[in-house]
Amino acid sequence: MILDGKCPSGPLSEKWDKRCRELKLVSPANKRRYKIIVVGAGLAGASAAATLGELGYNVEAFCCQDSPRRGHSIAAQGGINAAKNYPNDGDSIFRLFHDTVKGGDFRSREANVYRLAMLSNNIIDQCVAQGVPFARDYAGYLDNRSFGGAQVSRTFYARGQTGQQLLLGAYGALSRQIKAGSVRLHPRTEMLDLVLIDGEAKGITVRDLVTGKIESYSADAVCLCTGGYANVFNLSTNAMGSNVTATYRAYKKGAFFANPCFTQIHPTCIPVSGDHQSKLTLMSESLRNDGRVWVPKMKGDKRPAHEVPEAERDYFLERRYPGYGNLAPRDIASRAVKEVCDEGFGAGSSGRGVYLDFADALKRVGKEKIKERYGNLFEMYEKITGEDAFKQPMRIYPAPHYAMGGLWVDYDLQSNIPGLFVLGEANFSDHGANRLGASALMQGLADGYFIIPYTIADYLARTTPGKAGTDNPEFKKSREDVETFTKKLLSVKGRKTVNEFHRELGRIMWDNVGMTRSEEGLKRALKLVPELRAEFLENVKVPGSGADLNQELEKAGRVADFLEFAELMARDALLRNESCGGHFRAEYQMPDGEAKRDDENFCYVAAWEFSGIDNAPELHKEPLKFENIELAARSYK
Amino acid sequence: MNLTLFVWRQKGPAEKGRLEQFNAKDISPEMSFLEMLDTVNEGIIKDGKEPIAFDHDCREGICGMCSQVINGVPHGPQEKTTVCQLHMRNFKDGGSIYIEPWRARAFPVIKDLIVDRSALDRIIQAGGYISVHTGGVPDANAVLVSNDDADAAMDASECIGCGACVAACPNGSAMLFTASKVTHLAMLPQGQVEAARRVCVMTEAMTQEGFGNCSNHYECQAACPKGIRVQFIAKLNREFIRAQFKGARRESPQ
Amino acid sequence: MRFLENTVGRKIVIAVTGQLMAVFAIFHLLGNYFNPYSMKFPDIGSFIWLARLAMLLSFGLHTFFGIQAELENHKARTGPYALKKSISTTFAAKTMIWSGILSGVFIIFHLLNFTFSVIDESFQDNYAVALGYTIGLSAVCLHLYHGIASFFQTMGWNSEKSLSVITMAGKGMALLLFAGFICIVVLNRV
Repeated sequence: MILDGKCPSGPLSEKWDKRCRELKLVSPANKRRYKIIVVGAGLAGASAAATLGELGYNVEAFCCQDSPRRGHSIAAQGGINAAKNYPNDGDSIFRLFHDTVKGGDFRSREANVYRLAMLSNNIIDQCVAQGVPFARDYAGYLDNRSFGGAQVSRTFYARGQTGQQLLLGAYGALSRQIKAGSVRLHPRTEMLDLVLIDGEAKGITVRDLVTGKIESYSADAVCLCTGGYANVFNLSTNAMGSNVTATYRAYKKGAFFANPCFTQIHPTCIPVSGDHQSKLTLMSESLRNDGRVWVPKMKGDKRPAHEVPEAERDYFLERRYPGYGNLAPRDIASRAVKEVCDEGFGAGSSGRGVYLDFADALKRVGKEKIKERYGNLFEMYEKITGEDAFKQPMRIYPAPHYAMGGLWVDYDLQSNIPGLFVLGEANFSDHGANRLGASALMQGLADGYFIIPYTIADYLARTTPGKAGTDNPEFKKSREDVETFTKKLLSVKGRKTVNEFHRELGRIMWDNVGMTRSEEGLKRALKLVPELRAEFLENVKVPGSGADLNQELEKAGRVADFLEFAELMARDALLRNESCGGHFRAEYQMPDGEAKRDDENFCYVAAWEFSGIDNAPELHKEPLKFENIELAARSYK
Repeated sequence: MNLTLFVWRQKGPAEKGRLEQFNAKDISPEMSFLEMLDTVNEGIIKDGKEPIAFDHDCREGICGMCSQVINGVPHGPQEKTTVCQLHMRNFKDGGSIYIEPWRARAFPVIKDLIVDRSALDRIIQAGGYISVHTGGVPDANAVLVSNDDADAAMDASECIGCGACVAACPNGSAMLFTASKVTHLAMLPQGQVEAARRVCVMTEAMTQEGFGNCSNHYECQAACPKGIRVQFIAKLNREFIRAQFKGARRESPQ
Repeated sequence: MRFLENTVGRKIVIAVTGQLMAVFAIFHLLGNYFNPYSMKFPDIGSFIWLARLAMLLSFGLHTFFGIQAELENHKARTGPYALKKSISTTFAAKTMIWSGILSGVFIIFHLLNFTFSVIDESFQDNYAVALGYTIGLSAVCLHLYHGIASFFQTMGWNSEKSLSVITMAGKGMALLLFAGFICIVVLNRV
């Protein structure tokens, strides 16, 4: 099937206005008759729930943390992009749009990205009004910094905690609506199934993580804002609880999963220290503004960094990408780091790391300034590694960080299932094959504050409120299915823990579906993953019962989904016989090792339809057209 | 490293809890404290018992989910560090470690080391925000904020809402938590419109939730993993006094 | 009176009344050394009565809200920690309720002893009374050791930098008062 993104016609800059004019409205008096479920309370979820509640809809908000202030958006460090052009350095909406499409290696939808760039300015206004303490200059105006993949300074930031501050702003707005009674909050509750009535999304089934109770909630529309799936690699920068369950179970109910192989590996993370490692910690990309990346020119050089003379250092990013230097986009920087380490130039005892050196910046602007810019990051680095980055360079290595892929949505953020909307990282829409730094926060908030309130009304206006209650047979069946699966996990009583399976899956995925992929490796993964899944269902050990708080059971359900999803990811990567953005296929590269994109054959979104766990999923394509930017080879040289 | 752990085990809110002893063997000093617990839990699971339940999520010190009193100090011995960022190199080989949940009436234990902190959310819901609606706001640079004020607001808003201040306070007070939000918003021109009402309703909500009164022990500041300072409580007090002169409207908006 | 229902409002009442009594204690000590009755105060009689009224009111409010706060704080805690370390609080701060109660008892005794002369024994003659005075004064000064500086925090009369200076000064003032009062007891005994 050829998918249609339903983008409005007409000039790029007028598409959103045109769409807004076409969209149906729900009158204020009618709004309270509609119920909307919002799953997830990160930036996209909190902003959507708050805004929809404020408009007068009945909102049921769900999150698996104990409070909606803890979604993983909170961990975003560096900043949020906007085309304000406050520094007067030549930025514009078009340029932000252009950089984002180019950064995404021409695998995103033009109209969506342009709308994102347009709305970016409203987001900054909104957040300032909410009391987000963005950095200011001495005259009291907002300050900007530069970020990877851009030649202008358009990133707004609040120290190294921009995500936290934006989320607290959205959390405040959400709290206000909870107080007002328009949003009902369900913390420590995990969505385990999507319920369809006559092919439309009308509710969800959840597990109360405290009491273990399986319950259903019905609504007139469902918004999934459940983040990304980088934890399929086990070790990633995501929170321990980040998972694919909500989106994957929606996929199993018929929602298309788009571009699952587009995952981002972030170049600047703290290297792994041992097998016990439970997660990887990101060091903000903003560090690359002042830090210079290098390795010793001699292979296997084990001298401490300060003993390597200047002439024997290879500043490989500056050498290979003089135009952007240390600020080359994430996928490019990550791959370059991995390459030099694979060739044996890596720093540190493991050889899995490169130096990020602040010596020059410290000389140039002084310790105080560096402390002001990155103080908390330096502290964090010291806590984890026991090393002081003011005295010796940081060691960094790439780690899985973000999922560009996600559920397929049209221009209105509606999936192929009517009534199912997908926001933020959970959808696939705006970042193509690679996301630029400081763009995730922008997308989450654009979707939640400014897009969904308009587009969801258009769907609701065409439906009758309260179509089905939770006593409907579909809901009953959903609860039974969830309960059966839970019981099944508990009854295996095997010998291996959930974590052991997750670690094994992570190893398979990192080795074969990680930064560099090959047909051989992907085929290996497609063989190993189903084997591991079969073993999981026979040999997993989940202690305790389903009738109370049981963290192992929660993990088991999530890993079970990762074990299925991993196969879809590998399949998607195998299909895409090209290299683009975060997806790098060893067979498809330029003579100089750069990615070789194939626009002739792969300029489309690959959206997969579930057709049973033992059958290959069905592929649907949404062709991508580039009418406003020339489809060109991406060069950062 | 080998360590002896004394961990609080409690099946549910209504059950009686007790300390249970575990041996943590072959612990690497490079592990984080939670990775040490992961390792112990793997062993417990293999022994066919229920693992220790504890809250955690981001494991990079920002989500505020982790909540353990380690050897008598919330978040453990290292200053300005959450449990997830605490590494085993801070402990002595062969030593013993006491691990307990936050203890306060407003934080009932759910299971083992997990407590219910929704009372903190309700303090925020009472008025810990600027009542702006989505859209229709002025340009971000229309209202200037001095660099110092923005800095002070940021200092206060770094609070991660973990509740260590309550766990540390001999009175079980949430004053540092409340003060951080009051200060954050009062430092900004956008937040000043509602400042008088905010400080009153938030402090009242704090009492209603069963938190104690602040009597200036400053244990909260010592335990705070984010360096939130008691000067913000002084600021809250000033805001409260100012609110009395302003004759703040106290009723919540309907 | 929403002010008195609010935790901060009541804390301010405790702080202000406490500080008034502390100021009185300072004047009291000065009075012991430099007899004000010998100085030429205009209309000293009515001033004394005004002061006595203020002290009585302060004493009542301070005691009432102090005990109420303590009861609430006690309720806000659940079961003790198996292991709990204090980092920044002091013995004085942790024992405010006990030093407070002891001070209250002492002040009443002192008033009965000196002002109303209901109790005739004086510490000059009676070792037990002298010991009682020493204990009472210790309690008062222990209370002030936390109380004086605490007042400034409660009123918000400090800043980023002055907090630690004020805390030190408050503690110093409490120690000075203790030294001053205890000297009277000791000197009169010897």
